[in-house]
Amino acid sequence: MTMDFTAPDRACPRHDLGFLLHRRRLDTPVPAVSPGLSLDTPDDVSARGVRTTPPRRRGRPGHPVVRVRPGERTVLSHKMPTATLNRLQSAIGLLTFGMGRTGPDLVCAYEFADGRSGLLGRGAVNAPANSRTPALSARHRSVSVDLRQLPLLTRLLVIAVFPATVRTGLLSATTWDGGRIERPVDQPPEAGITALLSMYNVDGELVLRAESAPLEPTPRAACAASGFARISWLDDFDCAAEPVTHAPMINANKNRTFP
Amino acid sequence: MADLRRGSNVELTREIPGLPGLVLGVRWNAGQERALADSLVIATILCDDRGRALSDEHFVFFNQLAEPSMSVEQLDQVLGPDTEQVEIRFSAVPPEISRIVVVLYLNEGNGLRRTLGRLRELTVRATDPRDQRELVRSENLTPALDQETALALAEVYRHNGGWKFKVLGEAYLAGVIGLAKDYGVVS
Repeated sequence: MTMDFTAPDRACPRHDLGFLLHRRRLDTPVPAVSPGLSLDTPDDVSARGVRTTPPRRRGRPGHPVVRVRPGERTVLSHKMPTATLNRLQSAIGLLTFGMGRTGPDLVCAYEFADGRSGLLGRGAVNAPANSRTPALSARHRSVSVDLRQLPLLTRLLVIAVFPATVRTGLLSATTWDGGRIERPVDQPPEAGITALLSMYNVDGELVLRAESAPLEPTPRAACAASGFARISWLDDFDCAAEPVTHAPMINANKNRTFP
Repeated sequence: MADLRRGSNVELTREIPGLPGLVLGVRWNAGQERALADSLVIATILCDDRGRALSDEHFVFFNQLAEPSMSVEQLDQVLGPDTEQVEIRFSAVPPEISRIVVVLYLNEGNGLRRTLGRLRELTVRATDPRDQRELVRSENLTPALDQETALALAEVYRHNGGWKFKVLGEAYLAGVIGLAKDYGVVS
């Protein structure tokens, strides 16, 4: 093959070099007047079947972000399972989740920013253990979060321990500015353990989500069902107090029973 | 300069022309009450000319280290003897902000109820951000405290085109909720 660099328009086509090929122009003339960006235009499909306006976008999947408003009530449900606290609601005061006198007992699983995780309730009630200002406290039917310690907290799971006699209840918490979060509980008539609500610290804002996991026989299974898989369990009911020092700690918990 | 008493003020930008801003430092001593010290929170509220916060984004504290215009910032690392510091850049303060109030409150935590009356020493001072030179310092504010759980420490406010600094020392029995209502952070 000879190449004449002085007359490129007479050069032979190079079908072996795909990047030298030019896309052919469409015969369809470009409309002189744009049909506009109105999504309401009914005739946005031309006679040749070519769409001239962007297709109508459907709503994004998932649930809208719901803010907890000061002094108002927000009910978490299957249709609206999540709610977000603003930066002030997430870091001022004490956020206490309670079930009322007739509700089931509560325990909570937690994970801290430094990687520590564990389970609180029925005995060991504060985390971090031996802290003069614990971030978390659990007392029978309530779980409290000291929001001054918010940077320490990564996530929290509120778990209910249902005896066979308790089926319903209302898990609630109130923010410092009067915003109230409610999570109604209605379980089948059987004993079991299940996660009711999870709370995540997302860059300084707490996101609460109503959980709807099935009843499990042990706290360990309830935690695993909600993704809390990093807890160091001593048995199916209790985890190691922090820090784990020696094996005999297991014996201290051998008589602990859940319904 | 002598310690400023409650209610006293000083015209900083007239005394020091060209002052670009301030670093407000708060220092406290809780003695052996370490849990009390752990529960103390410094916050800064940016208010309009009626003394009301513009929005909840204008409440600067450990979980919101700056407000939208970045004119007020709570410092992560403290220089000097202060326990907490807040930096104010005068040129960046939006015109709708008339006063900037620094407050201290006790976060209600787990355990025993605590009060500011247990503090041994509490002062607020203003320093020049260029060289950390102390410009003005308040008197010890603790002798007047008893069962209160929140306190408006000091304010920096516009005056005749400049900025003045005033020691407030206004205490609240209702804690951060009472303080927030007074400054319009919550309705």
